[in-house]
Amino acid sequence: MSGGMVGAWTVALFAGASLVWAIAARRRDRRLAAAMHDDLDRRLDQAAKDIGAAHAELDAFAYTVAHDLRAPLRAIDGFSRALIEDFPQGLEPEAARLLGIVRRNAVRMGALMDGLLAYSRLSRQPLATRNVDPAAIVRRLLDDGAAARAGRDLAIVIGALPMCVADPGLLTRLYAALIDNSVKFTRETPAARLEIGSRIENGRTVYVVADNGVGFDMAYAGKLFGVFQRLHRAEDCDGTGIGLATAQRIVHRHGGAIWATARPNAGATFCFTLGEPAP
Amino acid sequence: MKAVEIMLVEDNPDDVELTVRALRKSNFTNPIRVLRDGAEALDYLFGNGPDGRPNMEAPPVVMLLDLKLPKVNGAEVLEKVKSDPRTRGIPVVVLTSSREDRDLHETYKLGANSYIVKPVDFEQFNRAVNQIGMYWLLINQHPAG
Repeated sequence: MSGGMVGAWTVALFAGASLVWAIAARRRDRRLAAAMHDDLDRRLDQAAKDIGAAHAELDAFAYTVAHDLRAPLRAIDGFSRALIEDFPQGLEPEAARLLGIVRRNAVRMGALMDGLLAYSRLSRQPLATRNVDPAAIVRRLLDDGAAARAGRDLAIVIGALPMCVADPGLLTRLYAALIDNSVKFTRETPAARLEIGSRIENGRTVYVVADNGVGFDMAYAGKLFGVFQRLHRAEDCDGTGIGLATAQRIVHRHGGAIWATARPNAGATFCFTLGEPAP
Repeated sequence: MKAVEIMLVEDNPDDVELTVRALRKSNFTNPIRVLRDGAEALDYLFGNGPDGRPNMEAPPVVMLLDLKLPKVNGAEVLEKVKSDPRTRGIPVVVLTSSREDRDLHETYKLGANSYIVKPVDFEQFNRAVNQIGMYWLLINQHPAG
């Protein structure tokens, strides 16, 4: 054989070998891909099972909170009260005062548990979305809360609130949480102002609830939407620390985002979107 | 006239005491028959004594029924009471700690006459028990026997 022939054969041999190798490699890749796919399937299955189990556990937990933890609280409050009723002449004022603190705390813990339960129900109840008019919801909430705001120097401005696709019950709770929050934190503000409106940002409607109340330091903004997180001391404001967590959970369930900007003593602005409108 | 009985099915002795206390504070003097679990309640309603006579001489004017009970739960008691012609007429007020919707739907479906969530606040508890008493003992006229 000539050197040229040897060269050609060598090339052909190499070409053939590399083809065989490439086919083998592709087969291996496919097998590997199939194996990875199987593995991914298994992991997704497992994740779905884990989520299902977590939901069932959460359900059981919420049920326990609802039933079993409330009974001792009822007894603490009830028998403290019985003591006050049955021994009116025997209880010194200081003893009565201390018992009053016991009772107040039992009732407060009940309110906290109710808040936590309502919050946990938020993620369990199915979403029933339809076309909703946020303006009607806001007006109804403001009407319902009018008595509580009586005597307050609080101007309320309602701007444009375009129709949206949302669960009407949940959207009502979302606005209730944001309005309550603003009404609460403008309590000490002279010439308090609450603006409820919207703007368009990147083609999406951003709903806005803004006030000129006590605001907060943006350093703590990360804690704003956490359950039972409060940026104000208990004696400075009532509430259970569940309102904004509820607002966030509702927005997330609608596929939207919620955020806030604020400055101490210069007010807070809450913005949210509600995901893409249905086609 | 013999005072009609109030039947209280409740396993928690503290809740029994608070409920009895609230009824007495509201000036209801009816005898209160307390049954401590679902099985005891069913035995009283449907069972016979050693002498072969039914345990229950006359149906109670109202049954206050806790949902979460040992052995036989409140929903099962409710179902039996509402599906038996002898006891169907007894007004059943479900008294429970729960605000969970599934309980509410379930008990109404089973025929509960009303549903009261036991509040943590004792004054609310008093008012709730008082309203139950007012409604079922005074206002609500139901066929005797």
